[in-house]
Amino acid sequence: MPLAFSIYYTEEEEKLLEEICKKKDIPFSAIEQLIEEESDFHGMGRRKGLFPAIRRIVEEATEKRLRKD
Amino acid sequence: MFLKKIEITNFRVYYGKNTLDFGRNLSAEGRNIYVIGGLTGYGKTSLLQAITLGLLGKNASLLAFDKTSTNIDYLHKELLQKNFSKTALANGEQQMSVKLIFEEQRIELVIERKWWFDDHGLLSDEELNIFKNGAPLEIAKGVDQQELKEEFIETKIPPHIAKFFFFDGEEIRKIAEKDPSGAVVSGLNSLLGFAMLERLIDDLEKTKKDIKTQTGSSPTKSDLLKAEAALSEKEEEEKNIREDLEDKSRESDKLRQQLETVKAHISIMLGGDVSTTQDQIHEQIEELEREDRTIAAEMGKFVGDLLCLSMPKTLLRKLKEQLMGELTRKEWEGKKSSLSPQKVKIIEGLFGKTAQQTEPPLLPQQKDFLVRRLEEEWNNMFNPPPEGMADTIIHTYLTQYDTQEILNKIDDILKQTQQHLHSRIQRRNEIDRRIHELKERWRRMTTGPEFQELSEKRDMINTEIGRLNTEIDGLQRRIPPLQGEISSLKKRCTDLERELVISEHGHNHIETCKRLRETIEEFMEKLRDRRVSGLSQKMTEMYKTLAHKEDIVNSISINPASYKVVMKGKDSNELPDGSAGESEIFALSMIYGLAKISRRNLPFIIDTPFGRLDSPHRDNITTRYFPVISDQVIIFSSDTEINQKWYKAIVPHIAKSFLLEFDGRTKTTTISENRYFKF
Repeated sequence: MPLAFSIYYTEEEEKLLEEICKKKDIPFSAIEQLIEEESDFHGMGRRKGLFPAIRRIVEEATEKRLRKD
Repeated sequence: MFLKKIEITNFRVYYGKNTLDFGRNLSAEGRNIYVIGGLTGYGKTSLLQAITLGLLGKNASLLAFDKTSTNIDYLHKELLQKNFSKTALANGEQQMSVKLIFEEQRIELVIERKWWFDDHGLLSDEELNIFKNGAPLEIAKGVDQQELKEEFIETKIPPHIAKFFFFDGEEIRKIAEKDPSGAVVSGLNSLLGFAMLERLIDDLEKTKKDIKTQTGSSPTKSDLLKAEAALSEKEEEEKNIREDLEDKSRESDKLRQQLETVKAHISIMLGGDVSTTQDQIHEQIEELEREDRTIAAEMGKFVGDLLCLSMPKTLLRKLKEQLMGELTRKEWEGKKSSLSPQKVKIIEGLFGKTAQQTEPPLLPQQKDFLVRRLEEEWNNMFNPPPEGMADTIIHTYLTQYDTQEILNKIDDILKQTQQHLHSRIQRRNEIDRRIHELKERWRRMTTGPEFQELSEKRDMINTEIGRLNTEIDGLQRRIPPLQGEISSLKKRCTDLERELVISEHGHNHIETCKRLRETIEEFMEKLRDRRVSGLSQKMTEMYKTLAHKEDIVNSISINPASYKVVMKGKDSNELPDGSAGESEIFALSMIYGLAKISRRNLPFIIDTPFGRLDSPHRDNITTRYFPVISDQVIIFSSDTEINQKWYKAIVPHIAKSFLLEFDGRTKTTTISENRYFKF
């Protein structure tokens, strides 16, 4: 599990998120990664690299979602 | 995160280098409290300020709950200048520094700030250094190093979160406002983890918009089908044209073969002449006549240029004869005239008075007879005159030389005329002959029925070939633009296919963004309920522990949206606001709740911890709060706060003690380790 995620959320909260992800047909790992990136890129200057990272996560999540379909 | 060591140099009363070494983390042994004792004015607040300045730089000014970021640069500069040790300034020193050494998950993190001042104590420069496990923090080149270092620290300890962990007891009541100000709401949002999720939602929305923009006007499958249909239509049209062209070319070839056959028949009929039609013969006749007229015109021009040629040739010849005769005559007369004195001299010599006489002397009649005979013989010498000699000289005005020149010219003219005219006359004769032949053929053609039939057939085939050629030309002309249209339609189809793929990907990504956002929103909503509920629970728990109001306060509820806090009694009625001391208890309870719910294990640093609290509250805070609030609790205390009683109460939890000692003479403070007030 990414470091940021384990720092911010309890196991119960993680399960809650997993359930919502399942319901929305979204890979849990995508949310984990997004939280990790958002946490890493905190601060205006560092946010420059955030959007390419989000874009990559979105594309991977799309691929996983479609492959599953 | 454990604060291992603080080194401060020339900061307010701390002249020179002063160290606070907290040693190793003993929280696992239940020793989490570090007490730093100092009387009023001995430098407790300065130490807290040094920690916050060292950690957060100019953002330290945001730690106060009622401060905004307006004029942050100015405030920061003022604060630094105020904090620069007066003793250091007096001693001509120029540097102030704070070094903080943290440990987090076995990684040592050093944050070091240095400030330089001029002789008047005005800030001239500052520097921030960060080291991870002894090595400088790696920051990509080409970016603002200083800015990114600050951001790195913000990531570790955001100022709006730090304010819940590093504070002055006097300030703490501001947290307790039941309708929290924006700064507190922002801090609460961050601590509870919602600020980051809200940022993530915004960033996903921005990503979605970017994808939408890049996806563009999104062509549909129908657009592609239309383009493909148009392409097929054009390709079919080209195919038909090419087939038509092949048919017509074949037909044309066939007709040409037929034409060759007809021509061969006509040729045979005309004795092998290639001119096979009446029209062609007529054209040839006209052409020959045109040539004849041209030659005649050339000859006329020639005659015009040379006037003498307009004369008949016989006249020219007669003139030549006349001039030659005149020349002969002149020579003859000249010769005769030049010899005449010799004749007189001979006659005088033979028959003059002084002439030798014959014996007997000649009679006068005899003499006359002889003279007459001599003269007759003399004349006979010049007669008959030379052949061709002119009877008379007509052109008396011409010298012999002129005459000769004219004769030469006449010869040239006659010669040129002969050459020039001869070839043309010959050509005209040929033309006459050819015209005559053609006219004869024309006559034969127009009278033969078989020839007429072949001629008509040939004309018909020619007409048909002409028609076919026109049609072939027309068809061929249609191909290049059609190929252009086909090429353009093919490109359009390829583009549409590509755009459709992009568009499809784009739509899928947009859908993913939407789902991710909905997932986070739902998670956040549920998380907010859980965390705020957990916060309420922890707060209630701690409040009841600290306030001794278990019998009055039943629960503390917090509005998840506004964070407005309501304390309820046993009967679930809202309770009125408490005293200032109760507010402090309330705030400490909230911080406890936040620390537990947010899972942020930051050092808890508090100056003047008891504020306006009474003895029972102090007892509770000391014995029930400090040991559990964090793995590292640093308390700046006067001898009246953590006094003998409270110190004794927390001794099992104390990891280390320090005493601040002030030298009134030098006006400087020194830090003594493992010491506290003597009671």
